[in-house]
Amino acid sequence: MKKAKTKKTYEEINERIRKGKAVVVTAEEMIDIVDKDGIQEATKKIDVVTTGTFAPMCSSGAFLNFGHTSPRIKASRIWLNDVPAYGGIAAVDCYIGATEVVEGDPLNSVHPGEFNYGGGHVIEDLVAGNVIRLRLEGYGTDCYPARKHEKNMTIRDFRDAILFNPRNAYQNYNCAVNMTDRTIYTYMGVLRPRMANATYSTSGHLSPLFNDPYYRTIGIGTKIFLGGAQGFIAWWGTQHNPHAVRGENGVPMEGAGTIATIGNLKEMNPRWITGASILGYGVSLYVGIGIPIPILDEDMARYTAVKNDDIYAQVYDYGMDIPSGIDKSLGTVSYRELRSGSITLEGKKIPAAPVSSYYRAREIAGILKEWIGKGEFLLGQPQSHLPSVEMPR
Amino acid sequence: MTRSVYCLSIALMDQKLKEEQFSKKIIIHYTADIVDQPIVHRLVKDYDLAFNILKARIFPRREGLLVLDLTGTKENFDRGIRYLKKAGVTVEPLSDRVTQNQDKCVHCGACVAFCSTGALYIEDKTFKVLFDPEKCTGCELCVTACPPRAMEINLL
Repeated sequence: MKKAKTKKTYEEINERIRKGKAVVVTAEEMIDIVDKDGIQEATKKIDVVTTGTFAPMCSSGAFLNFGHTSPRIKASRIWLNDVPAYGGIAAVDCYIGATEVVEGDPLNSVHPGEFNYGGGHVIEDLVAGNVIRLRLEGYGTDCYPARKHEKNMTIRDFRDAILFNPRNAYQNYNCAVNMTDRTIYTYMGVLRPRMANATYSTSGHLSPLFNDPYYRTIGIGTKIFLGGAQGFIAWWGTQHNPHAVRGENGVPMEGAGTIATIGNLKEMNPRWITGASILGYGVSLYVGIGIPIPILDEDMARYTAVKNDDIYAQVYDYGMDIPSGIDKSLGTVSYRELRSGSITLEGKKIPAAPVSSYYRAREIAGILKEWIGKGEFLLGQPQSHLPSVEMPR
Repeated sequence: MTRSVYCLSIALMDQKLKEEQFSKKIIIHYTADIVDQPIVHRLVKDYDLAFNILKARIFPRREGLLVLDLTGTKENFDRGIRYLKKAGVTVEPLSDRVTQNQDKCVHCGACVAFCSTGALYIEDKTFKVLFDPEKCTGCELCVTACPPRAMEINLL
């Protein structure tokens, strides 16, 4: 007699979470469970697998409403601690982008620039409850006569503060090397000449989109850990590309899917929303994201048991190729190699260092596991799926 | 007979201990009135210490600092340090002046690519970024390389 395959619904899993009976493990723990018990048993036993990532994520920022002033102003130019924010939204709404640099920064005029303060730091300061100097300029209208306004504010004084990141949690990312003979300073960190070192991002088998490669459960409306609070996936991220080359396990071997995330900045924590100054490149924002993945069936158990040995990244030259727009892979390396601290490329052993924090990613997966285990966090069923490709059967 | 062998071996061990090379990185701060004296020269000549200058600076008011990797026998090293203190400069281990701010470090590992001495490294298993002050030469490259600015060096 053939045993019926286990199937679970979101409602069933949420019911178990509510009752405090759900079995929740991290993506790291799931690897061992599937190894030991097999796919069938793991599908029955495990309800949710938690994932995590913590890295500088450009394409992040916050919508802020700073409230009306007296007399009123239609703020068309806005600065927060001298970092320009975009004001072409409404009278007192703005968007502060993570990569915006403080006004008057010497940038790269003395190379490599230090980029000590910018949008990412403003967002961190807001989350930390620090005082922010708000400076506004308007052209004056009959209904909004004021031309200038300045005040000190903390995040509590803002009417609304919403983190909205158009592109986060890249499903896979490049491994970077430098084939020129000078040191270069990139968003992938410093790269020494003649392939003397390699850098990479993503938390490998803990990374959210590696654990659901075809976006079956990660979709629009999925509830997530965002910056220490509960947030949501709002849309697919910009540059989302499900058509990337995939391995036999369905995992993309190059940059592929992305998500747009949204959450209440007022509830977040500076431990998970941290400004970043990237030497010679600019300012960015470390964002902590964790996504719970329901084990609806055996496919999801198989996907969440993926390990670093079976996840691959492409190596690119950030010295000549990438800057000139040439996407020519120099080779393929596994995350097991990358995590070991060195890769072998063209017969040469190259030390590899991450730019994303595996330590923090693991902590996020652990926190999410705890939240769900305690019944504080229910799964959000996607209202619509992200663009994907056919899952091979 | 055995006793004399025993004594000899003790004496040899003692000798070995005396000859064993000891090495430490130190910061010396000069004041303006003694900046022109050949203090480091005396370390070599009188105390048989080898030095490697990792950093040297003289400031506008003629006070200065010197970061040295000092090597010699432990006995000579200690005598050398005593001499330095007597000569009127302040001496302290470099490792006291370089710290990894645990509140700021996010353990990403970006610094590891910059650190040429291996003082900053990623611990196996935990994937935490750790700092070994004894290996640090005070080059200060990590200060601006660290995106959340967690490395704090104050040589002054």
